[in-house]
Amino acid sequence: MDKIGINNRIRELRFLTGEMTQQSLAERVGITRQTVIALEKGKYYPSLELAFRIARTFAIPLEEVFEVVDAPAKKTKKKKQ
Amino acid sequence: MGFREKNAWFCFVAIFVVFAPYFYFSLQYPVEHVSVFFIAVIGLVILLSVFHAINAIATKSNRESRDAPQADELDAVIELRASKGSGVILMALVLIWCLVAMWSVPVEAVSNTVIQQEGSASPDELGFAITSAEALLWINLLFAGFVVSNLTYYGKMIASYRGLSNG
Repeated sequence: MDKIGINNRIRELRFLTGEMTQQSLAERVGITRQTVIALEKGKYYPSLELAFRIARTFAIPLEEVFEVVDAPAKKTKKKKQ
Repeated sequence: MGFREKNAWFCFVAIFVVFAPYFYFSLQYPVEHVSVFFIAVIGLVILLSVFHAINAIATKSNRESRDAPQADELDAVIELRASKGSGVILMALVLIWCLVAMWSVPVEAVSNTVIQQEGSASPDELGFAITSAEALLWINLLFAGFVVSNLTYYGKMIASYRGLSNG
């Protein structure tokens, strides 16, 4: 099965919502600032519950915050011919 | 650096600082340093309490909310991964300890007994005795496995938090 990646627009949405800080978003959804940073960098995929809480904070549907993308293919060693 | 990452650093450093000298001495002189175990444990508790207090005061969010920050789902995932890693290490070390203990201590001790009581009893009737120094050495080795597993736990936590911060 092909792996998928999840991109998000959290950083962009924060700036569109009155330049909300990472700390402010973290407090609103009940996580730490470190988790917000990890989410924005795409280093951590949130649980479904957290994803819904983030979307609700920005008052938009879930699919406008997160989008599914094809994960970059792993580099494979070229066979010597 | 977050509250929990700092805590993991503190615990890692404190365990290393307390138990590295402890094992250095206790594995060389097991009997003479029995009391050092209690000093090491008390020292660790004091160190961790002081570190924890400093961390709580130094963390900005703690000062504002007057409470330690709750662990969120990412913290929980990191703790689970660290537990899994340290659990595997502990299991492997205990297994190695058991195998080595089974193969070395009784055989050595029984053969000593056989030499002492040659012809006096059948091998089934022979008990085995190990010296208190040997017993303490083996207990310390098992305890070292537990300490290494703890260091792995905090080390993995630190590595996970660093991995999130870098790049």
